[in-house]
Amino acid sequence: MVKQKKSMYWRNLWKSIFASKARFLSIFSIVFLGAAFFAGLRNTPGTMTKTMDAYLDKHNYSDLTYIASLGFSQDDIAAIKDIEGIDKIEYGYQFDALKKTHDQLEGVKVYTSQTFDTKMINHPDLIEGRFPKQSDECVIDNELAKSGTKIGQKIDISNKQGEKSFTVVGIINDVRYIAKTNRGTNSLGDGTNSGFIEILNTDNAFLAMPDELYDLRDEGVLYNQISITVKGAKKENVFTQAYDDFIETLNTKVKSTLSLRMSNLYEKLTRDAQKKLDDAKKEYDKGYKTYTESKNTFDSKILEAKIQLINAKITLADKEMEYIKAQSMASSQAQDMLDTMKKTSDELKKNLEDLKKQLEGYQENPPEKIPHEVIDEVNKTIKEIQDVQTSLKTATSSIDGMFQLNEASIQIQKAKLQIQQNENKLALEELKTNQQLTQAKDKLDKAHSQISEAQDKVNEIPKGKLYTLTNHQNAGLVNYESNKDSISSIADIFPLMFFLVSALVSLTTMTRMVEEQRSQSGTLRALGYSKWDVIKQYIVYVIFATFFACALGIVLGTQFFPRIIYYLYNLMLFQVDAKTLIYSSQAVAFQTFFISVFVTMAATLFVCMSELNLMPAVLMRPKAPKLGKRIVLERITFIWKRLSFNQKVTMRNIFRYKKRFFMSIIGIAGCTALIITGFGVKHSVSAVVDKQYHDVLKYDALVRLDDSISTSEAKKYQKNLLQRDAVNNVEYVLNQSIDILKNKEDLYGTLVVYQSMENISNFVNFKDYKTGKKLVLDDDGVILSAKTAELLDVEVNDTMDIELSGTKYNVKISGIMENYFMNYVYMSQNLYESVTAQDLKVNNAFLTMKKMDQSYKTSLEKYMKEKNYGNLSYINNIGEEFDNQVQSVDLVIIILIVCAGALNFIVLYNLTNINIQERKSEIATIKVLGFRRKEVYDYIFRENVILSIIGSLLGTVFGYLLHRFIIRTVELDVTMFVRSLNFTSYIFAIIITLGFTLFIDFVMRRVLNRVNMVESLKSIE
Amino acid sequence: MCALIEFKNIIKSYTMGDITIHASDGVNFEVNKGEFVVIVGASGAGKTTILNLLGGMDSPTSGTILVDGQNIALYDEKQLTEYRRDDIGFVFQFYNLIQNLTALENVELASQISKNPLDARHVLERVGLSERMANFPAQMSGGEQQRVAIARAIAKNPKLLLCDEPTGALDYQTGKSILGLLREMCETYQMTVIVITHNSALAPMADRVIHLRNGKVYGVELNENPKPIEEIEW
Repeated sequence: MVKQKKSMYWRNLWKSIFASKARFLSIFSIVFLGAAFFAGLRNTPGTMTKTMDAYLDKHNYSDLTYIASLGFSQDDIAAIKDIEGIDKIEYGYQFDALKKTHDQLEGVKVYTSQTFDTKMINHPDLIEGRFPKQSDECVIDNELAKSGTKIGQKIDISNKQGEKSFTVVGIINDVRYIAKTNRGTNSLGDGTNSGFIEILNTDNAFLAMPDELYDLRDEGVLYNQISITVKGAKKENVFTQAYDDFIETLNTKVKSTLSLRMSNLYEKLTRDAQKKLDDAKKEYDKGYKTYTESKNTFDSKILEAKIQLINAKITLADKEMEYIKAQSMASSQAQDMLDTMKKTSDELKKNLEDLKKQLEGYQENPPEKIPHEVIDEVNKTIKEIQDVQTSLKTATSSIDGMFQLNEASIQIQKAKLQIQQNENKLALEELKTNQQLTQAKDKLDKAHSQISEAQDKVNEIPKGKLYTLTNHQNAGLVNYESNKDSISSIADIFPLMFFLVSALVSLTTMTRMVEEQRSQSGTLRALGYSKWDVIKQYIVYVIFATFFACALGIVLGTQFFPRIIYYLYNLMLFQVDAKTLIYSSQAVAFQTFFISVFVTMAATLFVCMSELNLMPAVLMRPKAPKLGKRIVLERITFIWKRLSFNQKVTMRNIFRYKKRFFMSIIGIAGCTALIITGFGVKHSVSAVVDKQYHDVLKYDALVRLDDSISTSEAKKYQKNLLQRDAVNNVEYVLNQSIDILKNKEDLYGTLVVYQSMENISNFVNFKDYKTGKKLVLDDDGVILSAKTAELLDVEVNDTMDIELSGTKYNVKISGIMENYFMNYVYMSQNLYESVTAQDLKVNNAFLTMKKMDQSYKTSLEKYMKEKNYGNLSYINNIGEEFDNQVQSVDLVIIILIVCAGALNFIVLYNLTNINIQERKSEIATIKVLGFRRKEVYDYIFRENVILSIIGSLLGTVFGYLLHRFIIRTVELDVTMFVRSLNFTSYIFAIIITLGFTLFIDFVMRRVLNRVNMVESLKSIE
Repeated sequence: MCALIEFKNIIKSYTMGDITIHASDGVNFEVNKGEFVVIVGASGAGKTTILNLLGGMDSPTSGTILVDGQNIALYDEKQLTEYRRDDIGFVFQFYNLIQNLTALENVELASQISKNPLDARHVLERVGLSERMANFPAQMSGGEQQRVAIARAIAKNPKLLLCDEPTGALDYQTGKSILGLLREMCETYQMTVIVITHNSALAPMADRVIHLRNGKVYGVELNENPKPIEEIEW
């Protein structure tokens, strides 16, 4: 009995599923789509990281790479080799070089390896050819191959260290370069790399480091790169904190060992050099001392000689006086002459006193090493002077004798002559010696400057820099991660809303099914089935429809969405051929089940309970429509009167059942909102470039000067540039990177200081981010970009801290401007100078061009080069680069739009289908009454169209809110997406919704045609 | 008086798998204009098939159905729709009123599409529902609902009023009054009324009675003096 009861019961259930195939399928597909989308998108970031991690693991991605400017010696390597935790360690070289093919030079990064095999760290993916076996063979970056370098070709690699020719034997992808673009910077050529090249260590070391380095370190073998894989790191996902922590433990050990060795090395190098230098200094000091001493001795001897000479002159003068006295006896006129001579004698005596004093000064430092010849010569002179004196004395005695006067006169004359001769000799000696001394001094000075130069060199001995490269320094991985993050943020909200809409619709469908089948439920109840039996029937139905749809959705969604998104990303941005590894999170699966199965089941249960609480007899009768109530519209007579009869009927049908009405409307509105959001986000993201580089920044080109120049010099440049045909306006500014200080993490920003406010509107558009009013850059405060203000949580008149070249300044914010990309702080010259207490020096110029055509550009570029006015870059190109990044977000959004469209379609189909199913008997009746086909279509579909219109209009409101919410979560720190929704997004969404409605109506005509008129003869179920 | 309706050798067969079932197996009868006709037969006698064919809801496998001189057996779907629209008024066993429309609106629904309709209010007054015009079906009793249904059928001013077990869902007294109403309408509007029923007790009230059995006309009776419904008991 029980068994039989059960079997009939189950048969009824099967029948109800199959009888309402369309309903079952639409619930199934809505839940399926919702679950697939939700689970798929939420699992995408995980899949992306898992896939990349596996790829990196497979190719032994170096967890840690160290680069040393002074190289690593064998001892250095030996010191870290055995540190616990290292799985594998390899050493080699990496260096910048220029690659020459067909006279074309391109910057490349060259990596060397001991060997190439699958066990090596950073094992490349060989796309074509083979790995190098000889030292003059190389494998090249796939990107280089794409730009024309072929296997078998010879390429010349050169840099400051040398030049070598290599034969290309293979084409590779490398785990260190997973992105298609961005090969990093190069210290040679135009500063960028076109790709990388990998060669063997053997015989290629000379290209990596200069010979001086080997001399300096006194080593025969040096490497400049060490790559390490960490034991157990493969177990952790590269993009997780756990991995970072894991790596950091070993990094600390290795880094500290290497740093210690590095600083010891520095100490040793500087110690040796300093010692040599100190010796030289000592020699110099000794030489200098000798020089000073010799000079002193010489000077004192000369003085002595001079004193002797003067003494001689005095004696001579006295003798002459005596002679004249004697003569005066003969001539009275001689008296005058005598007086003069007396005076001369006195003066000389006085001179002598002075000189003696001086000599005493010298003699306090007793002379040691006197240049012999000089001293001898001086002594000789002294002796001669003394001889003269002696002869003078002899003369004196003879003066007494008047008779000898003449002879005396002769002797005096002779003595005079001798004194004069000796004086001349002395002067000559002095001159000669002084010359020698000056030469000695010059030599000493030169030695001194050489010594200080040497000191400088010692000071310049490189401290040796150690660079650690982890996944956070790898541009490709960082880019990959940020892409993953932007998907993550999109996957947060959008699929949830999507899923909620689908859950709501499936719930609506179930509710209506329960209500529709109330008489059947009543019959079952009347037959004696328990309430639970009846409810169970719906629960089982729900489980069949939602549980399996949900499970299938999770499985297929998780397979499909991550795959397609990863595929698209890979196609556009990345080049690695990593096999997609699907990541599926249990949490996501649980959420999916909860939303679709449990929510729908709970709602169904609720409806069943409230329906089945009625007595079976009541249940068996059709539900009474609300008594005599007229819809609101009927009260608005001026509209109601104008409606045709059929339109009135439609209105009645729509508004009679409020719950049904609202559920339909909300379902349609939700789908429309999702489409609006999709288009809106797409617009918001893609409009950034246009807004930033056309509306906000108005200049066409940017000139970077190598060094900062003063404002007065800038005026000169500006004047010259303004005379060029191509140039319309020029403004020299300070354009400098700054840190904008925030509580936790500092923001990276750009400070722009304008000199003049006259033309500022030609270069930047200061527009208030809220009101759109023009802002003025005054001397009171800075103008800050809106996104930055939002991140700092500051308003106008607040202050902010910025760090400029290591110094912190506090500035007032006088305006917050509309800006979409990067953090900007604008300042006037006066404010800058008063805040920093420095004169403004400018380093950039903004240009607006009259015409952007190629000939103008070329001639201007040539001019800039000639004049050394700096490098010119065009805003258009800068914009394009950003555009490329944005495109990747675009791809995901296109998927969102497609899915939202699909959901919209299924929801509309479902609602239409329910309407038809519920009213089959009514349709049959009007057919019997003689309604023509078109009238039947109108009777049913007019309702759908009106619901769609109302729903899509309401959807614009939802869409506006959802977009506003989502756009903020998708934004990155440096970007503010255009937050307003553009009109076309609304239009698109409405057109799509209405288009789908009309299309579905068209398709569903068939169903209406198939409604059999005989239905009308059956009793109402 | 010429025949309004002529069924000539009507065969309607359905193929179900290998078996062909003849729901109508050579039906012949005539109905004159203004007659009140009762087609009576047990379940499975082929009543519904006759109803479907006559109502323009289906076409016969072979044979001729002349309605007012036109062979509707040859009509395509479009022509059948026009036929239903203009020539047929249908009264269902379960009334089939549109639940969302008031009594008046239900009648208007039909009269709006008709070429030559009668005034809806007037017809409703005629069926005795002048007070209930603004009511919704759910607010009315079964008898009242059937009256609305009759009014809806009549308001189209059709050539033929087809009634499928009009009393089937009603109690005895209400059923009687509905039959009385139909008879009255037949006379008031000079309308041909065909009532299809399994209840042979109704036969005496008809001008013409057609008996069906096994998909064939078993016999036709003509009552010179049909009994008023009040005198018939069952």
